[in-house]
Amino acid sequence: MSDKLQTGQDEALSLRKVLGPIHIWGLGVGIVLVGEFMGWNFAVEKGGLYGALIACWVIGLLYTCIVMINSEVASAIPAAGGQYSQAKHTVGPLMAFNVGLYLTMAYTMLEAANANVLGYLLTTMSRLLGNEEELSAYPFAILAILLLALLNYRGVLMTLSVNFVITGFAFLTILALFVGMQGWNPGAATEFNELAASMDSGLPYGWLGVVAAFQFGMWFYLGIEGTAQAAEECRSPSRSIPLGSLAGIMTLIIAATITWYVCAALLPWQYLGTAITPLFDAAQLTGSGLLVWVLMLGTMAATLASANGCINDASRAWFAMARDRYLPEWFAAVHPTYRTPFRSILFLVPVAIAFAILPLLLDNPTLLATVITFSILSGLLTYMFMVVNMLRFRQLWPVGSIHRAYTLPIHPLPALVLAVLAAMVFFATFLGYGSTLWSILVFYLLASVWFVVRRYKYVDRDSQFTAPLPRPRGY
Amino acid sequence: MTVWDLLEWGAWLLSALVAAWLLYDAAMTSRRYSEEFLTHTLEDLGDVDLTNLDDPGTEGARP
Repeated sequence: MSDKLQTGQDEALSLRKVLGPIHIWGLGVGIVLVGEFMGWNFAVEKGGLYGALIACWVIGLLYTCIVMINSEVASAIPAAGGQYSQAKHTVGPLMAFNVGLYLTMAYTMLEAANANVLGYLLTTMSRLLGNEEELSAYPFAILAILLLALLNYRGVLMTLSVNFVITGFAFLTILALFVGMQGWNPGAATEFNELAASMDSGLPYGWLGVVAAFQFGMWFYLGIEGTAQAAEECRSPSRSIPLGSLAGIMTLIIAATITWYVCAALLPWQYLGTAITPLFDAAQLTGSGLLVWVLMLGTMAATLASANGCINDASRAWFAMARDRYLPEWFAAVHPTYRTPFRSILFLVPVAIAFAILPLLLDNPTLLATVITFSILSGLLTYMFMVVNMLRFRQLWPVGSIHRAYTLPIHPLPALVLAVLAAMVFFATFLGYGSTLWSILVFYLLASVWFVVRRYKYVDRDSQFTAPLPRPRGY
Repeated sequence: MTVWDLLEWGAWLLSALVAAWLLYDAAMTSRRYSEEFLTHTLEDLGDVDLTNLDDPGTEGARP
């Protein structure tokens, strides 16, 4: 207590407001960009080259709707926890608890997958450098998670400034590959006309294949909605969230289209559909040693940026739930020096490490796919909530009743498009991972039962309304 | 012992150091400050606004 007096901090301890639009861009694009370097190409296996391109643009539309909805609601309810905080205002505690859990699980699982992939990349790099023995991925996966947790622990400004730089670098490496292969020049030494000219490579499994490809098309954009998590730490959320998020989705659609073109022009679709690091493999086929190294570093930078952003977002969701007593209040602690939710950051570190090394320990690579599917499905559940959220938000605060920094155009069309496309992706995921989908739904059902039985009594419903908005009549 | 073995051991050592520092700092912070001070629920924050009131996007939006 004496230290409390010494520091003169009689006022409430809160998160520091230091972020601007570039940090929001770095957070949103940083979480996602790794999907351009790996993962999206499984859409080619499901739907062929053009099936993957259709998935890229259709899912791009899905995420454009998400970003626009996010820009309106998050700038009006700028609180840590993002969609969780929105849910407690627009729907109620049980929905909010579920959304908070979806977010925490989606980002923690993605962080684990990133650390696992980073270990794999280092092992590959050691082979490129002439190592004949198998380099163990464990220490590097664990070190990556711990160093990024340290960065997050010591302050959000440095964390997201680093994310901005490494994400920018990773994006530039994609452009470098496009320039290096002279992607704009039809006469350049690529095989695009031979590789992508026939419908055999374009839509080998017809339109059902295209729908099946949607699941992996999500890799191009999965996580951009995480920009809402940083709203409470923005100097001006109403400016930063729409600017950073909308610039982010534009960056991603450009990066996704270039990625598809570069890979389609260099790699046969049968190989592309199963490659682990398609952009890196494409760089190897250019014959340029410099591009190979640039893309190797770009892949690593994208992986680190994604894991870094995931730690930031998962910890904010966990912290926000604890601050509302949905979880034990112990997790709601803010570090007096760094102004970060330090206990939430630390608590999620062993969880991420466990899921990162489990596929290695059990020597079961398919477990990594399950971890990633857990993340994707948790994200999809959040998107379905965002449809309800947008409709309810406009019902509670119609246009004209509050000042909006960003107003979603042609409402409710974007919300309805989001609902239809998210349902199609659920169907596509059900085709490939039906049992995983059911087990995840059971997991969230059991968690909801736990919340209702054990935690609901601690939730003070009167104090749930914290947004800087007028209370709707009868709220 | 090859350079790769050294790198692996280095990564383990650095991991242990980072983990130790994080746990040490969290423990010391928890000891130095009271729980009431560290863990504010939203109702504890009272009138402290979660948003920037200078922000034109939210100005005037309060009831």
